[in-house]
Amino acid sequence: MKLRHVLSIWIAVFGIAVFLGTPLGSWASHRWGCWKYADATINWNNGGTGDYFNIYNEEAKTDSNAWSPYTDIFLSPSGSGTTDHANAYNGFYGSTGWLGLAELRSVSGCTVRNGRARLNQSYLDSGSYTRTNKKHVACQEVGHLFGLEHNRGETNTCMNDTILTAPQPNAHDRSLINSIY
Amino acid sequence: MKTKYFLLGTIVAAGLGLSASAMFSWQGHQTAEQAEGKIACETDMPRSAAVWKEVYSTPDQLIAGVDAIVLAEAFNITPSRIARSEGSSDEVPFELVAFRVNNPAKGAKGEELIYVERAGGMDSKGREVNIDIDGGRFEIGKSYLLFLKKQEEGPYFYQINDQGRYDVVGDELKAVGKIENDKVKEFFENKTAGEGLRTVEEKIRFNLDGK
Repeated sequence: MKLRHVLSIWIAVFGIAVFLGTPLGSWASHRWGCWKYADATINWNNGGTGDYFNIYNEEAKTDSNAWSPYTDIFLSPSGSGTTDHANAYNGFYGSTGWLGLAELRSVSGCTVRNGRARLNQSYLDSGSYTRTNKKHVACQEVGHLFGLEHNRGETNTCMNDTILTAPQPNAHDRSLINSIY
Repeated sequence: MKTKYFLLGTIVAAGLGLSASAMFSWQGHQTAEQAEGKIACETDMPRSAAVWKEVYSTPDQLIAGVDAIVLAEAFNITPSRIARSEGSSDEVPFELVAFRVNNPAKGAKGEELIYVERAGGMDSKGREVNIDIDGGRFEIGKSYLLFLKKQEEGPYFYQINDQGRYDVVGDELKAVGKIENDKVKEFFENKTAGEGLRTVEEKIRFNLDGK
């Protein structure tokens, strides 16, 4: 085979690989800073009350596409704590502007030691929000704790903060989590 | 050329292509601040995130959706209430920021001072709780363009979301929101404070005239 033909083929292969490889690059997207827990096994303190306990439980562990069975993350039930803990709460926090809040209370470098997810009942219990909406917010706050940022590019993920109707992570979130841990 | 060299070269070309695409995508997802080297370390990134009640697609929606728009200077910060999570010892402290109103574009007309309550500050055990989804702690003596809502149950204002605060740096507005391709944020970013305020006033006037 002539060298010219060989080079043409190699250039074509390079171009096709760049095109097909774009989804690989998306693994790097929608990361929240460099934050992550030390490893995939995380102490899970569901401090929710009433139906919020169930909502957190469903989003974290029991729904078929909940964070814990759907991704490589394993949430180990635990009481409240400050080391390798993801804590989930709800409360009447007032007119704050936020329906849900994820807070990294304690970090060491990029490693999250103590993360807290909170659902604001002052808004969520006003009658304007469905259970699906509440699940969406819970799913997103927990996803933040694991190291994911908002994703406004897809409408089938709870990491989209402009909708409240997709209470589950999608395949992209799963790939991203599994590439982090 | 021998077949084995041809195949080897093809595999190398494919590998380089995949690597290049992954690299481009990674760079594309850096924030503008990271690309400019303003964020030296990723651990400087915000440590809180939220689902905001209101997220706006256009500046017009933001302007229509808030109760007050002011160019104001922070002059005092005091501890406010502490909210407790249901059935647990978890606390969210709040602080009250007093602003001297320099230019009211909407609401707060005739008011010299306004008070904005935000999450953050000291909990009941004296530990600092750093909640920075809204741009973080205000700095006394610095000016801000703020888009505010009245609290439903209290006398204070709150910042509508992370699209609702622009720090005045030099004379330019700097957005605090980190979401990329946010049309609202991009609209105000890098305008001078005067331009930002004038634009808001023009849009309000246009909407009033339109009605």
